[in-house]
Amino acid sequence: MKIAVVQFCRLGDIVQTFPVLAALKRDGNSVDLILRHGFHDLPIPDEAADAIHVMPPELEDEVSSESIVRHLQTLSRFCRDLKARRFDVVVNLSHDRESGWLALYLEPGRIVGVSEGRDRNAHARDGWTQYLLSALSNREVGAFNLADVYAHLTATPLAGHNPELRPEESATKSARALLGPRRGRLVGLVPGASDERKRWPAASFAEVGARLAAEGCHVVLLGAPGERELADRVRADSGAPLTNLAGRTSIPVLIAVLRELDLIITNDTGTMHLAAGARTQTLTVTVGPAAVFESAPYAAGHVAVQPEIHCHPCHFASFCADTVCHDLVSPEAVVHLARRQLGGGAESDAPPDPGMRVFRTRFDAVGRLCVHPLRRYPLRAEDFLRPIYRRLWERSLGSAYPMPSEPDVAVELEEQWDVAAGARELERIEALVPRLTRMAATCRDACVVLLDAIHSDSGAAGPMLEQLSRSLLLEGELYPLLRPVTELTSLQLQLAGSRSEGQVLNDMLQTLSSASDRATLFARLVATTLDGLNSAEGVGADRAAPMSMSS
Amino acid sequence: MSSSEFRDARVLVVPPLSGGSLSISRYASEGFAEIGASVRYVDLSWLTPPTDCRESASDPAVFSQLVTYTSRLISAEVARFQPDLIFVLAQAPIEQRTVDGFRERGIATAYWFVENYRLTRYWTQLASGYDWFFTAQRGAFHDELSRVGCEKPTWLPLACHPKRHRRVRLSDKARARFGSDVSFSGYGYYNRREMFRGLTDLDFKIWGSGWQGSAVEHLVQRDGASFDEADFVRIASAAKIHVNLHSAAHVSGIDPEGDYLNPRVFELAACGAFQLCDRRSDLSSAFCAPSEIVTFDDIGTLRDAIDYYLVHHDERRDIAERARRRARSEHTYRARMQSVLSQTLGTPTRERGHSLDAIDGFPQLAGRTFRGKADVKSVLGDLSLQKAASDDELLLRMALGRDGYP
Repeated sequence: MKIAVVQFCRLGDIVQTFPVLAALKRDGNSVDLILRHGFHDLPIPDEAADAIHVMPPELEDEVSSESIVRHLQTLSRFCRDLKARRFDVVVNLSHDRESGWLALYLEPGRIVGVSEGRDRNAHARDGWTQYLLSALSNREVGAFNLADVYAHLTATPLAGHNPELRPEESATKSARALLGPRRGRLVGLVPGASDERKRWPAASFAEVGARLAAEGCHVVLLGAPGERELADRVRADSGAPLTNLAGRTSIPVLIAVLRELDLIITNDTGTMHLAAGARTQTLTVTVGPAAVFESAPYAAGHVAVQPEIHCHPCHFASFCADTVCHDLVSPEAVVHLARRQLGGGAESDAPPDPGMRVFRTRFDAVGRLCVHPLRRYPLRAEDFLRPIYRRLWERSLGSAYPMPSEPDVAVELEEQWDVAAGARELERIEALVPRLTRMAATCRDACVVLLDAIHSDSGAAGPMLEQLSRSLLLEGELYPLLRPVTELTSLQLQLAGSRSEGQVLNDMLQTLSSASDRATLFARLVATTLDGLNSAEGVGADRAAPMSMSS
Repeated sequence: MSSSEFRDARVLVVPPLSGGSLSISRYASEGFAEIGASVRYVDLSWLTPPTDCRESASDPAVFSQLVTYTSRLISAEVARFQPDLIFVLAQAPIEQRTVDGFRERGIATAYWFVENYRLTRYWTQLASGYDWFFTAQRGAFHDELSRVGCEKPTWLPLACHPKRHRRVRLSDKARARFGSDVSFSGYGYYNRREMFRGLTDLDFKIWGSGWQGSAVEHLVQRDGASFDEADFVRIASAAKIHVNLHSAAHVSGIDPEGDYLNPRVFELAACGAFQLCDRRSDLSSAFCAPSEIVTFDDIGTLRDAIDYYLVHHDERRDIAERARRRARSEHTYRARMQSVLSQTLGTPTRERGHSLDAIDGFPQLAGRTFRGKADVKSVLGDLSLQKAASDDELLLRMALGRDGYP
């Protein structure tokens, strides 16, 4: 099949797309990748795409009439040339509407992901696309790495393979020239990030840089041109001879630099994902809206530190006047972990710091990327629900992977978390079961009203569905842990409502029917897990061995 | 507004197939070019039907086919040339729906009605179909235009073209051929046929067509053949006195309601010819009488003037010279077209819009003008009125990014 993959997100998301591109190609498809403007020099591995198309730049606000016309003609030519390639499938992995318009414009045989309609409504027909859209606001219980969401979206298992990024010879030469003679273990620091809230403090990076330099490491600062000043500040604050390469590397040279490094210590950035592709170890400080379960690099053995605070990860749209989470991760702990990753320290486990949690990536039996805690931290309700949600989504939306014979959730939880320390959290979870049972019944009752409305053409369905959508959203506000299901159902009702008139009621019927089934399954999974934990109470703590960093 | 500010203006001129306004369309076109504008003159003269099938060709059913063809031709030229202004001359063969299309795309459209509105009514159909409707007449005509929905009737008198309408040195042979004491050049309208009966005793030559069967037919030169511009200039330079009697179909002498000035007023003046012109209400706005142009009210005053000026050579020469200077400095097509650009385009072209090329751009947006991002958004608004989003709309939304969200 001729497939076009549209990826209009940032650098990190693009790199997280490489595994699914390679998997699609591996299955014998031809794959074209379409990117937003600004990624001309991103070296895409040959095994990931047959052709790369980079969109013309967006129209700026202050622009002459002549350049508007030139711009529109360029865009028109670009899109017409793409359309002429007559794709069988367009896979849109982006969340914005521009990519949806492009998908529609290309008129492929099928669109996977977000699309627009000629009726000017957004369309997201398949369940995984709807998941992708609703998961953005529910990342505290995000159950999948983004690369695996893409796998589910395209029904293409990834087999744990992330294409390797290999720079050209010239980029390697430039990188070596920039780095100069190696003065010890090479460690990169990435103090910048696209979102200010994702930036661990410059002073913390400076302290890490100073300590590592004092221990004989050759420390290099990396970043975009706009982060040069920030990197200068880190260098100055460290008082150590750090090499500042921020703003001095093109993407190919950055990749070449990353390949030379032994480790990078980074915020949640595109550079982190590039490092994973360049086969370099990463140690990520995920603060603010960054969420390790969703955005960890798609490779095994990478380490991430996350602050232990109820509001983390914060919502992308939220404003925070007091970024406490930034200070919960201490430079000492990061240095400690860095030493361990570099193989120079004696410690084998994560530091017992109550303000943070440390995770390590690994692939499970079927090839999904999982994030495991390095210590048995006290169980939180979110930790309880994450594996449940993973099962729920894969069973209700369909899985790209063969359904594994997974252990009971209770066993998985006992292995990874200190359940006894999270007893009070289990009370929060117990309260969810009757809510879910009621939700299932409400959706089932709505199906009956809807069926009646379809037969009698009574018009009673409209107000009832509106009321249902409102009560679902309210339920999500009252019980935030249920928001992923309430928002998904509400989104599905909304999308069904925007379709052509004849289809609306049938689509809504299907939506409500599957919402009811999902709530029932959810309630059962929760109840079973609670039962499992109760019956194993007092045993799990002794049975489960903590994970070691070298495992 | 100086001419340099219109250096980048793009004007497409649509002439008639034939007739009096054909030459005016050429002069206007050259006037635009003199200002510095880029001009595309859509020459349709090759479509003029030959004389022996002119009657069939003027049959409405046949002629409408021709107009459909010329309209498409003009559309194609507009798409290629991407004008800022389309300037249409009276009698030009273009369908209103074609003009409507140009207007929808944001191209300024202007029509110059250089005919006598009292002799024809077709202007009632098209006056409101253009952004600007320029007329050689004003006053009552503008009142009538307002009644038919024309929002911007603008007075734009005719003019001369100094490079073409100029004094020429004649050989003796040419002087003998074109020279006379009195001459007239123009079509044999009713009032002219009648009034010129009173001049048959003079050394009087009539140039032009339409005089068959009249009492003055024997004075008509070259068997009533049309004369070209070069001949006109020779006639103007050769004769001592030129009579300029504006046409009228309903009176035997001068038109008591005569208002506008025909092109001959300006052209004769620019050639340095001495003319006796019938009294017109607009004359004083262009020339001073009698110091620049001498007028007459009837055959009696015309004869008196001819008799007087035939023997007062110096006076005749001085008056002609004053008219020449005035015409060449003030009443030129360049000046008129400068006024057209000032009114229609108003601001320098660098701030004006550019339109999309149909060949290499958006099929539905060909010719649309974009002056800024706001125009792109407003076009999007127009397209959104259609039930289903077109490919053009999708592209515009993509180009606008977040600003293109419904």
